[in-house]
Amino acid sequence: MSERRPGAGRVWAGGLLLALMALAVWAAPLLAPQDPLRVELGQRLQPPSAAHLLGTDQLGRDQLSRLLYGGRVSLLAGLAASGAALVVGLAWGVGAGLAGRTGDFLLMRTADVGLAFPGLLLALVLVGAWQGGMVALVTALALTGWAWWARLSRGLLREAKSREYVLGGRALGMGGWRLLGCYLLPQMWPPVAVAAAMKTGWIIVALSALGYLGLGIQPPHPEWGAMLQQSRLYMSRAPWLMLAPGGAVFLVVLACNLIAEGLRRRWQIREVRWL
Amino acid sequence: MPEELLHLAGVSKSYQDSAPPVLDRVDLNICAGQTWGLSGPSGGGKSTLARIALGLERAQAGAVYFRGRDLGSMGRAQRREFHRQVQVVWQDPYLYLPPQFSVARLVAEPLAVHGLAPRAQRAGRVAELLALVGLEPGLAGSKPHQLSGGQCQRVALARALACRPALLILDEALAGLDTISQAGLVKLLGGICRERDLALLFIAHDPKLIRLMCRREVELQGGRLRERPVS
Amino acid sequence: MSAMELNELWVELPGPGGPRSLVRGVSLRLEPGQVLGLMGLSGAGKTLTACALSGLLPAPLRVAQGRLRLDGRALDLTRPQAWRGVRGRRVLLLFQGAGAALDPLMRVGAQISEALRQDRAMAAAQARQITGQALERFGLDSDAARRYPHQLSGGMRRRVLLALAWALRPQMLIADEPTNGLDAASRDEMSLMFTQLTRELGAGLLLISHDLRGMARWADHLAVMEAGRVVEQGRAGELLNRPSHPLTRSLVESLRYLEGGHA
Repeated sequence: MSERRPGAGRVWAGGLLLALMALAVWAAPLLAPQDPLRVELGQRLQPPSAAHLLGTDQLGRDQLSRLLYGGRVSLLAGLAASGAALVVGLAWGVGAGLAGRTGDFLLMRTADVGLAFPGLLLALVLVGAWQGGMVALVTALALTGWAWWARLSRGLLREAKSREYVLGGRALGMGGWRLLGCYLLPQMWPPVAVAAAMKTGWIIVALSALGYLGLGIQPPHPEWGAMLQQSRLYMSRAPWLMLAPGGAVFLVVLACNLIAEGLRRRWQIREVRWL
Repeated sequence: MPEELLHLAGVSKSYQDSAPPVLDRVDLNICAGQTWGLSGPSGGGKSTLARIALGLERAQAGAVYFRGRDLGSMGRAQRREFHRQVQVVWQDPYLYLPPQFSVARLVAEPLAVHGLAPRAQRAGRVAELLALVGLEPGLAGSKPHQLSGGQCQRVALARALACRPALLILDEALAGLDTISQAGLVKLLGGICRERDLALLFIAHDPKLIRLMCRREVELQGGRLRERPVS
Repeated sequence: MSAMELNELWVELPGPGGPRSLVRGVSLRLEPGQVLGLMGLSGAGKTLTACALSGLLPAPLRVAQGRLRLDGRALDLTRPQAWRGVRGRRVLLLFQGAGAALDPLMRVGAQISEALRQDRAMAAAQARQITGQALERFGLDSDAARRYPHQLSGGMRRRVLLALAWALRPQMLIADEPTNGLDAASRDEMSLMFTQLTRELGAGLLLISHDLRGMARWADHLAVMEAGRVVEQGRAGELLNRPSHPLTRSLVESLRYLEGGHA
C-alpha cells in the first residue's frame, strides 16, 4: 500500500473487481457459452467440466450462463436500486437541511416513517403486490433505502452548515446556491461515497434474499438468490450449484466493502493534521 | 459632515429569556473614515454585536441602518451590495477560511461573487492584493493550514479588501497571533485605512491595541455601550 | 531546592526519508522560585519542549536525546520509565486551554484529592483537608469542589489547576499558554497568581506564551526559540534592553511598537 495515498490499494482492488463483474454480466449475451434457459435433461447435475465450466443444474442448464445472466438482475438491478435510493435520499436530506424549521420537521418526520418500516418486509410486500418484475424489484429496494440516505445527508449538511467558514462566506455576500455548491456539498462527498459503497453491498444481498424467498424475478429466468434457493436440495449431490451464486454474491460484497474501506482510509487519514 | 455608514439603533439581544441581555439598547454610529475600537470583557457580546452589524444575525429589538436604509427591508441585490461594502476579518483564520482552497482561489472568490473583475483579469487583481497585504506571490498556491497564523490573517484581509469595502470590521483579528505578526498587521492596517479612507471597527479585548489603531473607543459592559475618552 | 537543568533535548518525528528533528539541542536552566519565559514564533518547538519535559510527548514524536537534572537526580528523557514517580510529584504541566488537563468525568475536588493520594501517598482524610485548603487559597469554595469541569467557567478551571499545583507542590511547573483567550484584566490576575504560586512553592516555572507583554512583566529569565533551537537566553531585563539575535530584536521592536505606538 503506498504511503502517499493510503487506502488506494483497496479502492483499486475493489473497484477493479466490481468493474470486471459488472462488465461480465453486462456482456452476458456475448460471454455466455449457452442459452441459460436451455434445458437438457440428459446433462443433469454434471460437475464442472470443459463443456460446462461451472457444471449444470437439475434441469441440465449451464451454470456459467445462468450466473452471467442472473448477474444482470442481481448486480445491475442492485446498483440501480442503490443509485436511486441515494439520489432521492440525498436530495430529500439536503432539502431538509436547508429548509426552515417547519420544512425540516415535515420532511424528516416523513423520512422517519420511511425508516420505521422494516426494509426487507416492505420490499416483500411491494414485490408481492406488483407480482415481481425488474422495475418492481428496483423500486421496492430503492424505497427501503432512501430514508436512510435522507437522514445521513441531512446530518452531514447541518454539520457542514455549522462550520465557521460558511458564516464567513455569508459575510462575504455569497448567495445560497454558491454556498451550497462550493462550501457545503463538497464537504459531504467523502462520507457519502463511503456509505454508498457499503450500502450497495447490502442492497445486493437484500436482492438475493428476495430472490431466495422466491419474490424476485420469476423462474425460469436466472437470478442469484433463486439459484441459491434451488441449490439447497442438491447440496450433498452437487455442491457446485451452491458455490457459484454464493461465491458471486460474496465477491460483489467483498468488492463493495474493499472500496468503502479504502475510501474511508483515504479520507480519514487526510483529516489528521499534526504540526 | 462625514457620511453615515453603519448605524445601530437601540439594538437588543438576549439568548435566553431568563438571562440578562447580551446587548441592551445599543447605539453606535460609524461614519466614513472613522476608526472605532470596541472593548469589553470576554464573552460579553462583542462578537454578537459584530454579527448583527454584519447582517448575519437578527436583533430582537432595534434596527441596523446602512447608509440610511434598514437592513431588514433590503432586497437581495441591496443586501449583496451591503455585504460588499461592509467586510470582516474574523478571529481564527483556520476556522473562517475554507481549508480546501488555495490562497489564490480564496482571494479571487470575492471578485467572482460580486462580479468585480472578469475572469481574465482576476489573476492580476489577486497578485495586486497579495502584494498589498505583504504576502509573497509564491504563497498563492498554498492552503491555509500550510501558512502561519499571521499569514492566514493577511489572506483574510486580502479577501476582505478585494471588495473595496467602505467599512472593515475586525473581530478580535489580532488575538492569538505572535507579537511580530501583531505589530506587522497593525502597521499594515494603519497604512491601508489612511490610504483608502477606510472606516474601521476594531473589536479587541486589549485596550493598548485599540488605542494604537483607533481614534474613538466604546466599551460593551453589561450589555450597554459606553464611549470612553481616548487619551 | 536546587536549580533544574535541561541538557541537549532533541525531539524527532520519524517519517519516510529519515527522522526530522523538531527540537534541536535545547538546553535550559530553571532557578527555583523563578520564572523562565520561553518565547518564539509558532512552530518553533516550544510546546514540544514542554511535552518532552513532562514525559507527555504524543506518538509518533519521540525524544531522541536529553537529560533533566531535577532534585539531585538525573533523568534520561529518552526512557519513558524515567517518569515513574516523577510526573505530577515533581513536574506539572498546565496545558493550553485548561479544559484539556482536567478529567471531564470526575468532580473537580475529587480530582485533586485523587492526585494527592496517588502522587504524595496521602491518606484520604488528609487529602480532603488539603484539597479544601488549596481551593480556598484560590478563591473557590466547597461548592465548586463538587462540580465537574464543564460546569465551571474557563477562569475557574484555571484556578482549579493552580490549586492542584499548590496541593501537589511540584518542583517544576510548566504553563503552556495559560492566559490564552482571557481579556486584559483577567490575564494580569492570572499571571499574578502564577508567579505568586511559583515563589511560594519555591518551584521553577517554565512559562510559554505568545503574550510577550505579559512575559516581559512576569519573567525573571527569558529564552528565545527559533526552528527548534534556543537562539538567545538571559535575564529578562538584559534581553529586552539589549537583544542580540535578530529574532529577539524583531520581537522586542514589535513589543515596543505595540506598547508605545511608535514604529
